[in-house]
Amino acid sequence: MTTDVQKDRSMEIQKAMLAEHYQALSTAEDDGRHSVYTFVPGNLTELIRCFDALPVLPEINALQNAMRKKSWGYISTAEKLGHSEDVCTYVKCDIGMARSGNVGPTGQRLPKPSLLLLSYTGCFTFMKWFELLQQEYDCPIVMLHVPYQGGGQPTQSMRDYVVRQLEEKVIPAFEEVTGQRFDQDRLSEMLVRSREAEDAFVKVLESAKSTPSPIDSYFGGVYYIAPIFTAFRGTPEAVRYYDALWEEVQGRVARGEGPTTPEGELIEEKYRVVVEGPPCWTGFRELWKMFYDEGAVVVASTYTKVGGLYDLGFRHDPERPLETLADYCLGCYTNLNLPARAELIADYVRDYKADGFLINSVKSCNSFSAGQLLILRQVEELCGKPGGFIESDLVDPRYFSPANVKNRLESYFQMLEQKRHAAAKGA
Amino acid sequence: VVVVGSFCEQPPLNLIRTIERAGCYVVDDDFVLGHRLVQGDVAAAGDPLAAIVDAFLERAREAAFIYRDEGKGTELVRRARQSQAEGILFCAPSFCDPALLDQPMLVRAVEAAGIPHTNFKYAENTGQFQVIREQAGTFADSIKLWGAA
Repeated sequence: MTTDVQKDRSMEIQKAMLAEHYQALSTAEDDGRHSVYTFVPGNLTELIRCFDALPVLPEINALQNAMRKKSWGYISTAEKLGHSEDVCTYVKCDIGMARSGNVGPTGQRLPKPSLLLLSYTGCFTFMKWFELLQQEYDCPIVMLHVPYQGGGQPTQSMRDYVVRQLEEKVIPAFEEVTGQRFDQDRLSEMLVRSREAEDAFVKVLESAKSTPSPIDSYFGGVYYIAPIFTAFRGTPEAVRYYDALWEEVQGRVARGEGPTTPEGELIEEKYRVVVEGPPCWTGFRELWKMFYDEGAVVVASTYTKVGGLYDLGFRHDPERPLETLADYCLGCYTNLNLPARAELIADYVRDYKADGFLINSVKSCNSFSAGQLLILRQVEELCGKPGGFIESDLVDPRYFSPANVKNRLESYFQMLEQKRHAAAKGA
Repeated sequence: VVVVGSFCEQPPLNLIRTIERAGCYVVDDDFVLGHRLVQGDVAAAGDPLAAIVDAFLERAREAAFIYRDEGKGTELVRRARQSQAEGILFCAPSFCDPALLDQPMLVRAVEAAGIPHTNFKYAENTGQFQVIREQAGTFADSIKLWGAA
């Protein structure tokens, strides 16, 4: 392995896309463009772009700030304003950033929101987050309430409820803020492109069923989800990105190569694991290294499903634009009930031939962490593979203890190795 | 004092006893909030379902899960004045995002109204309230020291 940071071509494409987006945001107010703040789960990117507005994703800004080691300063600012140590650190990072001039992770100023689109999908904290931002910016806010899948499946009445809100509340709010009429044909055109990108994205995710896996579906996966989960779904740029990514992955499969890590290609795949929970963004590289140093590859993850469970078959349908947006919002991972989440993880373990699964329980995210110990036991029972549990945080560096996590991971991988030896002896 | 913590349930009785033993007399609170959300009676005449919906939408008290047109904390300030409270204790359960994220907004309103306040967290599964007793006691002393009495 080399010591320089290795990047795939698709990562360079994505870097350029993000740079262009942040550049557009930095001049949006001068250019007379509207910006709409919204969240990743249940994001309505096509609808936002249908009104020529630019999406701003506060969670993405928070995690990008963490990867650039800026989050602690912002969290500290928010705590000085009276925010508790215990609450979601994405929120505190965002509030701190807003109070520090709203300069985004790239060092460029972000526009004030023209509209806060509160898609309430699987996370109560979103509601409080935008209430706080509304106080910061004194701007309009519209809520899209997405019912929780308590029964394990979305129902027609849930779908109708979301569509009705889109028709009666969300779209009129967009029309009022932007001064543009809603153009359903334009929305459908974007949804055609969404579907194309989603097709390629799923092929990339499912390539991890190969042995060796050509991708890492967690540490690499967070790069793969970025365009489709954030500001680019429905754009030609997203289609081009996923086509390029799929071509790249196909090449790796053909050559029998493993995933690209920051230190080059992973030569030997020793362990295949599934991961539940978000990454620790402040220790992202360090945590990734703990995996690839042991030859561990994440072949499937739930975090890469927070912005949509495309691998279960969902695709945006341009023939029924509003209904498909409703289905999309209802189906995001954190909107699933706990049994559905446990079954999904167990299915991943089986389908991707994983040796086991790991849960990264982050301190500040209730929508992920609540119930994870229960999920751990359920998944073990469902798939018969061992689970491991590590703890960290989203963007607060105080809650990432590398030595403890490394110790826990090494112990887990040694256990997998011993079980493998024992199974071989038994056979 | 008014005790505020977006309590969906009854907080530990020892928490309330601790606050009272520290010299604070609780004159209003938001304990068991779900059962006390609707202010007044639900209308008995007309469509009963519409009456229930109306009660929740139009006559719910200020809570962390409701966006209101009137400024955040307006009702809290009004309650504190109506009950002639000399201070407000913010005492949210740890890891309760709705309560804890609401708090800075409420604090801002309370400060603007000039009402003394202090805040602390408690853990639902602990019986240790010594620190809270000290903090609430110090708060009570400061009211006695700086207040009209």
